[in-house]
Amino acid sequence: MKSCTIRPLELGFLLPALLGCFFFLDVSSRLLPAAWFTFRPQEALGRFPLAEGPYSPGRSLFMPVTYGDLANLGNLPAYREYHSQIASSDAFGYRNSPELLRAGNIEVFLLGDSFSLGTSLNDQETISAYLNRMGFTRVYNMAGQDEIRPLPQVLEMARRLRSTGGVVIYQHLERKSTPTAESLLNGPAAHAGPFSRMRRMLRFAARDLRYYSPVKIVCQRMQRALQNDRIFPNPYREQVVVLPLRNGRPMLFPAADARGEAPRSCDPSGLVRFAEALRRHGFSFVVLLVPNKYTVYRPLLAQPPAAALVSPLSEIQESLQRAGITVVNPLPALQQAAREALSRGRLVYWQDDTHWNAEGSRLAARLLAEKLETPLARARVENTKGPAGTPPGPVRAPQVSRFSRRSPQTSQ
Amino acid sequence: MLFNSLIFLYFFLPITYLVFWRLRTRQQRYVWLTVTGYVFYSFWNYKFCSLMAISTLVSYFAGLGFLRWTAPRQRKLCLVLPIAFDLLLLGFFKYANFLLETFNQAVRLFQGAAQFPLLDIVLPIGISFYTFHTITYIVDAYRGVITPTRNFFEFSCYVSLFSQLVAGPIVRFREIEKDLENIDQADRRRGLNIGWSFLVIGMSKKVLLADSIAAIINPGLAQYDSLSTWSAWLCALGYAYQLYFDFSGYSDMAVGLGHLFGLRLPQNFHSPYQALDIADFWRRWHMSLSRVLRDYLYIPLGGNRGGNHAMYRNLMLTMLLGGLWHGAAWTFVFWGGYHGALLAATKMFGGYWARIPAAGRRAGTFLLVVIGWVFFRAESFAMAASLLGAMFSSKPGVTLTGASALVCLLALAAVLAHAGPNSFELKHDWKPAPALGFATLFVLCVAAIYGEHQSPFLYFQF
Repeated sequence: MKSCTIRPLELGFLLPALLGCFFFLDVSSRLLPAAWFTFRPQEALGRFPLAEGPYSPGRSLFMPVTYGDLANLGNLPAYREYHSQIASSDAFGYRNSPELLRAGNIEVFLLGDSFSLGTSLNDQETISAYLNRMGFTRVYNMAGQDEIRPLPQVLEMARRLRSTGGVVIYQHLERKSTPTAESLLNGPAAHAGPFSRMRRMLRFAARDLRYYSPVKIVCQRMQRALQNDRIFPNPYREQVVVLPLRNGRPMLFPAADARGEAPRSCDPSGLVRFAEALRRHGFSFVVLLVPNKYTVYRPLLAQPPAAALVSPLSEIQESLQRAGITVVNPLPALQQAAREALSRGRLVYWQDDTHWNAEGSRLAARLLAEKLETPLARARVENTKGPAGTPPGPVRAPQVSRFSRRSPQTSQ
Repeated sequence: MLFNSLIFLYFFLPITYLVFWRLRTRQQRYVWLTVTGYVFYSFWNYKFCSLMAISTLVSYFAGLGFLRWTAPRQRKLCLVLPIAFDLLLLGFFKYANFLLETFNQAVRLFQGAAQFPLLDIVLPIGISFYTFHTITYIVDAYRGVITPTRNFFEFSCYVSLFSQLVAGPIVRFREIEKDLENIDQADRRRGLNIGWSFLVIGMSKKVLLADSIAAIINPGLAQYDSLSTWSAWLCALGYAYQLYFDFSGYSDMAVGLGHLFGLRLPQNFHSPYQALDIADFWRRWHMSLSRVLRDYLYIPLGGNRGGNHAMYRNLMLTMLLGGLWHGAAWTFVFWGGYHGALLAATKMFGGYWARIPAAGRRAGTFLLVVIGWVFFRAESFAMAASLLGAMFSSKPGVTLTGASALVCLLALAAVLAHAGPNSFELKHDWKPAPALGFATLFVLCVAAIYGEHQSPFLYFQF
């Protein structure tokens, strides 16, 4: 083999060196704070979720300028609705205020996805925050970005919070398939021990280091700026539809929702078995159904489609109610609120986001609170008897809520 | 794994390169290149590695057979059996469903009821290329053009060499034999500079030019029946340049990677859009395939030895099969037939054609080629007819999004393709200023690779 001395400005040196620089930049930038590169706090807080919850534990992040996921997904900067957002996590990585853990006495656990987690909302605007402010009980937000919290995790969190029973609220989004019994009942416990915690930490660290690349984010943003349907076609545009409302205001919707793509499964048997299992552990079960944004705003479009929309929510609601499960379906109330808000030039979902805004979240919390009375009372009574397999819970005097004067409307 | 992917640039290439040059002996390098070839292939689908291994083994033993036996009958057996095996593999994976679908369509046409269900087959990537590698090796060994190698790893390294494994060039053993023999004597420094030069030229062609053109014309071609005349022409020209810069970019990268490992792969494109007639075009476009079709199909069929009619028939047969090689669809067969007819016409009316000024001949040849590419790109004859209808009429319709950018890109592509030198005409001995230009191009390419998911090379599907 001949000797290989090469000068710096020869391609054989220059280009591998540049490649090395790119690699170094990529690797080192992965250690920088994600908030510098993400467009909303959720992604930044979601890095290294080293506790049970979806967020990195014990963090609070204020982002002065953020916007909706649909504007980002469809690469539609003209439709961004800029706002500020503050998002925090407790010691377990869930989205709760630290005071809630200190206060204890938690009776309600909220499971769900980004709607319950409060994506695009401030800490004080999530469903659990509204319920807590209503003051009749303490609600712990166990929602994740997308994943289901299975029974072992719920029970373990209840044990950690010294809760011996109460109510579990499961939030189900219209576009998603109903969960299977296996996924709800047989998932792993959050942490069985220190090794399990370390494994989880390593897994998430590896995942985040692998998939999160600021260099990639910056390069994608530069390319997306060119893919604006003027210089280059916007290939992301097809994932989002922009439809005008009655008052002419444009509204963004996920294209799959507008096309009426139904979820693969609407079988509620998994939820029914989950409810039975929870009951054995001293918890009542309430299901909160969340309609797609398109379902809520469809009647308010400037040109509503002629064909009727078949929402799976009614079917799921009926099946669950037949099984004796309390169901909150806020669709009619949200449609009514959306109509009224629109007449005032306001919205109940963000214009550029899949999720509801503070108005929508507050409405869902109010409806939930109304239906929570009975199962909560039932759970309290059950807990005074001492459920099988669990130690009897402390006897607490029923708290008087601001809704207690209303006649309870159970859905069973 | 794609050449224009981060995993290739950051991990596969540096590891393969560094280990290769640490190894001293020929045998070690053969083994290493074989291993890396299979690793490279397994990133697509590891299950099909066994297929390539079997094909390699069969051809290797055929080569040993030629070394051992001199009797014509035994040699013929060593020729026919492995080629039949290779063609059966290729036929099954690439053409079984095409034949079944054609049969079903024919039955439906005649109101019949019999329908065969299509098979659940995945086309192994690169099978068309490595099958041709092994076939040309066997035929050359039979003809005595090459001496088959006794070294299994030398042969397996030739078949599975990652730089030319999945989309060519179709390198014949005789073209690379000397470099393989001297692989332990390779000049690392010279190969390094030339290799990176080819690599960046190829990557820029693919990532900056071909992919940018594709980003504009693909949404247009998806609505082909509503394109205006102007848009249809932009799409047709865009595809002509996209295909050229995509495939020649891949070939340049393959050649560059070969140089990094001391292997000089043959030229695959010689400025084909500067061709003066269709025969000239085929001497310049996908040259390695053209040579294979000429030496292993056209000449064995009789070539031009049996008079004009036999020559036209042989040309047509060769090009029809060449079209079919590109893809299992009748549009490819038609495209092959179209070029066969043009080649025959060139032979027939070459004298008249030669009287036209060179610029006119170049323009005419390019126009004929672009029309051919319409069939090559079309997913059906209806699509081809619709596009050609729009091109050769005055039709209002949809304007392409990004048409202005496309015009700029096409102007740049046209200058490079029609007036610029090809990558083999360059000396690749760059002074500092051009080297910095190359560095800028490389940074842009890497940024573009970071920015979007990597698009596969067009010829991977063939």
